[in-house]
Amino acid sequence: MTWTPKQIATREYAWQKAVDRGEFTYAQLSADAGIDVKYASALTREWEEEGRVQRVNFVRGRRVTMRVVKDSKGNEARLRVDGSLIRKGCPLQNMWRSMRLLPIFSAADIAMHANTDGTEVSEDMAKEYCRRLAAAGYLRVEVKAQPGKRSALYRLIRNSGPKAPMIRRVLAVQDQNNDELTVLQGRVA
Amino acid sequence: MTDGRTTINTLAPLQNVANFLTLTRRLQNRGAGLPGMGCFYGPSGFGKSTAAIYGANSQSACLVQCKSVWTQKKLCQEILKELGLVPAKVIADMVDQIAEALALEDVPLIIDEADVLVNKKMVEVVRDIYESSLVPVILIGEELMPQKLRKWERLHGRILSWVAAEPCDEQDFDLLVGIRCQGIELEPDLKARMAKASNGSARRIVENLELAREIAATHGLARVTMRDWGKREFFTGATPDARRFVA
Repeated sequence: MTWTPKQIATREYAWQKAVDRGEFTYAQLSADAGIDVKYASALTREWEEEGRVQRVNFVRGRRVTMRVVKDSKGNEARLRVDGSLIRKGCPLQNMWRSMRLLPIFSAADIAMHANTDGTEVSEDMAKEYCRRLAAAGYLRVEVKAQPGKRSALYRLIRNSGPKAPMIRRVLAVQDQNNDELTVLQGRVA
Repeated sequence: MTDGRTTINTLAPLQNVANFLTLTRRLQNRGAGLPGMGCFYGPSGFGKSTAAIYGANSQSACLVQCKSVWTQKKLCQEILKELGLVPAKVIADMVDQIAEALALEDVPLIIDEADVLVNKKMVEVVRDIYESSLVPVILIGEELMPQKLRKWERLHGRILSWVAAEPCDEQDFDLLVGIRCQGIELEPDLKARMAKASNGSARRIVENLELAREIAATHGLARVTMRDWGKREFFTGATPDARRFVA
């Protein structure tokens, strides 16, 4: 089945909300993700077939409670004793946190600090993120890279807050007459 | 490794990082009624802040680095900013806000450069935050911090565990070589000189290794020897002696 970009975004958002809760009911998922209860139950059934979620203490006629057991990549989810999910770090979040704390850094430094046992961050990933943030004006290049010799050193100049800036591909309309670019709000390419 | 777990490019096996992670876990899994604060101390350059950043990343903890000019209000504001909340107007409300958010998220609070808190008599705020949230709170500071904390008996008594940062040993050195000089072999003599010059400081080891990596890249070497290093100085962190001028 093919999904439109908006549907994909909604489904991912709903999954994120389910993961955040660890254990959820259809009504909770519907409220968290802002989707219809019927859609929430349909999505949950899909996840159940994929083995991502499981029913908890199912009693016929009672409200259905689901538990997240696997992440979207099929890895075992880590749960606390009470069944709530242990939030794994996200690579971007780890890299961004390291950038905010290190005064001056190379991509290797970021990878070294951000690569933890639950979250894998490779040096290439860090390089890519540094380059994008530098292009967006978040980082300043302190020492320019010399290809094959020295890697670039960066400094954070726009510390906008604790949440990591995300790199998005957006759908936009370009007017060839005056080169104006209009980003279509809420649409991902 | 026999268990197939790749340790390349991760700081976890580093002595100080492992000690810090153990401290965090110990505080998180403490028995009922035991205090939940910890102190991680040691001289500068031993990798305390690196351990803290790694720890914060792996535990999704709230980490703030104090500055010498901070006041009680600024500390609370920064912690709240880190938690993604809009600070209230007065400190008392901010402490409640912080406690609520920390308890809800159940994440540890790590305060780096905590000497500032001790010097500026701000430790009571941290105690308040701990008392009202009961999440693990870890203070990181210089070597003399435990002695400085003695003055505040009420805080002192709430510290479950004092962990000292250790100088980098041979194993740590090899691990850092694996991370910073991947695919480059260092001559044993160069390694020994480098380790001696670095004097157990993780920061200097990394600086020296970075130079070795640059030498290898410039000359296209797979093995760096003492001869390649030449007359370059090692990073020792020593300040230059005073010069004498003849009048």
